[in-house]
Amino acid sequence: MPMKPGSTKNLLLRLDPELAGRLQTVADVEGRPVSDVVREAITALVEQRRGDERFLRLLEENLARHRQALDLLKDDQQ
Amino acid sequence: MIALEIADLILIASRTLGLDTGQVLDLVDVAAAENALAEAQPGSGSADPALRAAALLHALARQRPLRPGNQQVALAATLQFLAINGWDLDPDPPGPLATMVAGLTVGMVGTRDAAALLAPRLRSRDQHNRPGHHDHPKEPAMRPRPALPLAERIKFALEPRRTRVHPRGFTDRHKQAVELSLEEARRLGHDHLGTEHLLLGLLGAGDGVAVQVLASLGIPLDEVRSRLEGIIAPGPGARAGRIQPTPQARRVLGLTLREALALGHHDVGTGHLLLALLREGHGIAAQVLTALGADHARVREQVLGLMAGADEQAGPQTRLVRVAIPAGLADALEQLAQVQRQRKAALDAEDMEAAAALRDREDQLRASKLRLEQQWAAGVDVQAVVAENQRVHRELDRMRGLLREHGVKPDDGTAQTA
Repeated sequence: MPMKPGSTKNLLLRLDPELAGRLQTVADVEGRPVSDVVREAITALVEQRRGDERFLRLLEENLARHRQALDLLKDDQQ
Repeated sequence: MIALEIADLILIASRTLGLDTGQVLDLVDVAAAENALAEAQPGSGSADPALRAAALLHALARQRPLRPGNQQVALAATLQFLAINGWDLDPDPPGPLATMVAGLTVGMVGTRDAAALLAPRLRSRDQHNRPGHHDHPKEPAMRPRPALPLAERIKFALEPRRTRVHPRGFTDRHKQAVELSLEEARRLGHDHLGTEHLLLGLLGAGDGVAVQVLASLGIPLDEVRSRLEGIIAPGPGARAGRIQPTPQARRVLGLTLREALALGHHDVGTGHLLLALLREGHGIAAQVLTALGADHARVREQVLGLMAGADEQAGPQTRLVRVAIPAGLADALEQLAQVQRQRKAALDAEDMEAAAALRDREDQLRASKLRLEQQWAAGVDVQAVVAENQRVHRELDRMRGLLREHGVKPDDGTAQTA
């Protein structure tokens, strides 16, 4: 999907033309880049998931239990 | 099996790398992440959890949606995938696990090799509930959810914008908040209305959507008030005459309508005012709210959730009081969108003459929209809101007087009015 220059960060994703057009319209009416609209939509989804207490608890448990293996992978700068 | 989605992956990356959502979005290659997650979709392979987890880990390691931190996030995502499907992975020894992830990244280890390493380490979370295992209380399996590609999720997120919305007016709670904000300005001896006064007004306007949203985010109202009052310096004293809104407050009041339009809501309420305060971003109110952990996306979700159930609209507890909103504003927005679509089509068809003409029309519509929004915002600050409130209060007093004249004891002021 083409992005307008000047956005915070270009996001590359595949969208059907109808959705891409709708995103462009929303962005034009609100006077901001398409990538901002997409970022806002993704952020809203992430924040929604952040409200899932059980999902977060399982994640925190795993991060704590596997801290050593995760630390061994810390040097990954690829 | 329950699959991970892009939002899950970003949340996992956020917690694993200690970054906020925006920082992860700056790092993530969304297309690569979607490809990796699609490779591990249910139905695309075996139901063997070790093989499915290995396929996900391999796909994430190979597609590298995050740079840096990809290997850590790939492992954390795989562990989370297993956990939400009822499996734990034995963490000991950690070395071979880390070596396997690094091997998958550089192509020296394949999916089946990884599955062979994972399989003997897997434990059903149910086993932890057997006698002798008390570290996990028994809990039901996570509810399956439809795994949708990001495009579908975005489509849903944009859905309210499709509705042609003609706002009807402010809720009485919104009007009460604005009136209270003026009182706060007078109390503090200010001759201007700033975003800080608007936020104080919201806090004082009872159990509206804004207050419920703040409570749901764990933000204590007392703390908000205390921080605001710690920042605001008292003015020289109340002066007679009109209290002028600051440019920021004026912008917030204009944005309030935009927020309602964007959410497809017909009634402009305190939730939209709270969103507008955050959207404006620079005022004292935004600074205090942000410092206490509120952000626009989270507040928007909460407002949507609350207003999906019980809107701040006509009903026994809140009554809508109409305020004239420029009738052409919603039409101007729609015309603007239409002209923009036409201009894009003209550009696609390389009809530069038509595109130039449409560009002029677009500029006119933008100017018209701005003027209408400014008119609307200017009318909000003191005139329409206060005059209508005063009129309703006078009417209420008159009705109470009539009731007393007829020997009927009116309520003691608990009835909800504007």
